Amino acid sequence: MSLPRIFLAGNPNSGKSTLFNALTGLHHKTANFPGVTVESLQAEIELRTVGQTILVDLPGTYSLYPQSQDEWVACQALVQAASEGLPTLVVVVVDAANLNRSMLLISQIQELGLAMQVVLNKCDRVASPGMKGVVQWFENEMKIKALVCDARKGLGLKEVSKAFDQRLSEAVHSEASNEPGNWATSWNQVFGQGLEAQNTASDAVRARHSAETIDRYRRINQSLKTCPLHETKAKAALPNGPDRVLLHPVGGILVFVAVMALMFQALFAWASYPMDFIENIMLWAGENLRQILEPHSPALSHLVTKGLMPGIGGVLVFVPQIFLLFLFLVLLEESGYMARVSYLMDRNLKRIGLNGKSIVPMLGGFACAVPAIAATRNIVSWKERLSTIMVLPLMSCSARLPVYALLIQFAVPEGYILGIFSLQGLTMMGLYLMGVVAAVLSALVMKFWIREKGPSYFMLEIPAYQWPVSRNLWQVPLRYCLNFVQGAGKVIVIVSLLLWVLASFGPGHKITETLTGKAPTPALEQSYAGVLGKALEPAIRPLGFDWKIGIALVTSFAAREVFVGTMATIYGLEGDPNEEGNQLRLKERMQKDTVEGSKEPLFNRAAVWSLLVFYAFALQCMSTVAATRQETRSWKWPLIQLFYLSALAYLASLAVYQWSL
Amino acid sequence: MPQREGSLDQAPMGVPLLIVRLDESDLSLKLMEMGCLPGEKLEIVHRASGGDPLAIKVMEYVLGLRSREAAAVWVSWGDTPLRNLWNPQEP
Repeated sequence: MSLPRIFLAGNPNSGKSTLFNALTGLHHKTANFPGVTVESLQAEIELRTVGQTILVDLPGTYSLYPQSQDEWVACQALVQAASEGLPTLVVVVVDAANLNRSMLLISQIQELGLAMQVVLNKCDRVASPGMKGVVQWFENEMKIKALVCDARKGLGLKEVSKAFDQRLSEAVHSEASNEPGNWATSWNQVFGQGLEAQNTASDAVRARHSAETIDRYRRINQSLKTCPLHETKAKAALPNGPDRVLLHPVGGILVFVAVMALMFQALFAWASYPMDFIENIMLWAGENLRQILEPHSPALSHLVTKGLMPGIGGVLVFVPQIFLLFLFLVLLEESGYMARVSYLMDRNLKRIGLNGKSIVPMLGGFACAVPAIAATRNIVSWKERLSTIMVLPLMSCSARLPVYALLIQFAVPEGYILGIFSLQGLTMMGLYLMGVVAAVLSALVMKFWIREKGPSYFMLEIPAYQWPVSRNLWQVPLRYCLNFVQGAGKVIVIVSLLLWVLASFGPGHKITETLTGKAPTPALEQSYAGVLGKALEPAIRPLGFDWKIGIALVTSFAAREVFVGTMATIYGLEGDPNEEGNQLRLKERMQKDTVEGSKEPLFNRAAVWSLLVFYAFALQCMSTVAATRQETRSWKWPLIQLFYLSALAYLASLAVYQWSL
Repeated sequence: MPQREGSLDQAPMGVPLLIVRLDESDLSLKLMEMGCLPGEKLEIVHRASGGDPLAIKVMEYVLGLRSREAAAVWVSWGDTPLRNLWNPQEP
């Protein structure tokens, strides 16, 4: 039997997600792809009489006539619920300081005929005593139950769950009608097939919707006359004075660049401590496991310490950085700064065929392209949205960080400029910047090349500044880290197992004999992985890569972060087993390796620069390909994306290597 | 100040404006849903250099929009604001 559902609907910035987080804690899963702003999360909550209930946080929307993909998701869920006849409660979360505008959505949802509850949120901004009158007004005039809460401070949450319980149990016991109302039927005719159909909607339909909207607002204004709104004076939120600087055409951009610089500097400085800690724990655990397993089964010990552990360690080591990145993004978003950056950048982004709203996914792309691709859903124009998706993988995601960190050591000496800026840190910044520049240039190409029609809008609410909610500051990043470890973990474990098999066995060696120790493990060169790498070598030789790097390129096609694990596996396997006691760190082993037949180090400057550039540009991430496929609903765009980024990476690496030789 | 009328992208900043009408376009529905209705008061609170984008205060909140979108909104300003054309009986 399907559980009763509660949908949280409301305008963007109404505090819906804050209420959702406050009600559910960490016990929720993503109903869809997670994103920074555009997320559709669901969780099971326990209500006193109804019992297990699914709570769904729908994307924000201003009306039930959607214009963007995220709005469509929300509207479709509501309209479909109206025709399904399952016990459903729609909760409309309203920013109490913005009642007038929210009434449009309320009046539309009211006509769906679902059980309904209004939650007047953000009551810190409205003098509370007067709110009683507004609640009364909802019950008497609108015939809707309403209540007051402050999700940010966690005030009134008990009353909220109690009301949910009451409304839902009424809905369960009332006769559910499976007949969609007239309104839902006509909605389905226009939007049922998705947003594309709406673009071709006739002028007559559009005119009808406009007339309806005017009529609704006329009736809303009529009924609001009796609403004691004037008794609820809006308390001043944080002053908007900073906008003089933050929205200044020059000052605003300078501040934005400074915020970004601070973010990355902090990211590298703060995250390195927990990262080192995790790395050491993994080393320690690996060594202990080896000592325990080795006497019983050398093969199993080999599999675990050489195959699995480097792979798992490679995932876990990212967690602090991903947490910090998301913490920053939540801070920027919740304080209201992100909307201002979108506003500020729209003019420039429009010129390169993107949208002000592209900035949120682009910044999210520094963390991970997969949720960022989903976060493009609030961009109305399909062309701008598509361009954003296409260039997103050029933003250096956190999976590139360990690759950069490992390789930079070979290309740039340690040392400082002016005593504070580390050379290697600056190089890292340079690589990020290079990705951004490549994204801008690619967007320009897309602008002239993509032939997709559709309206282009930029209409964005600029919310009042507010302090971020402390709960969201740890919950959202933590949720993201868990998702990452689960998602990337699977891929990496599978790939590292596969790599271990390929690297441990070879043609001409009987697997059973190798496993039982009757035959020695083949040298890497003679293993399947080695054969594969050798086959690839002619193609990558001009970039300065040998067959071992070739193996890493192949394995890290699934996910870039596998590169480091692959290097660890390759150089772990290559080393003399007797040397294990004084285990050399990966870096030293890589440094000792030379180009075959010469004394030249394999990881020489030219080759390392070439490799860095390759990783900055190449689309080595199966999850991104899958996300693009899902969001564009075709194989055309992910394949184009894969092809152009691979070509870009290859040619750029070729140029760098040949030039710096 | 004498009575003036014009499109929102050309209107002065920091002056109370009254929405007279919206152009028939695919933008107008979205604008109305966001609160830009005939008869509604608004004010331009920020304008980027070159006039694009601009931020308006309408229905107690701030909305950022492009000048192309603002061009679809026809406003009046001055001493005696025009009456709401959609709703002549209400000022």
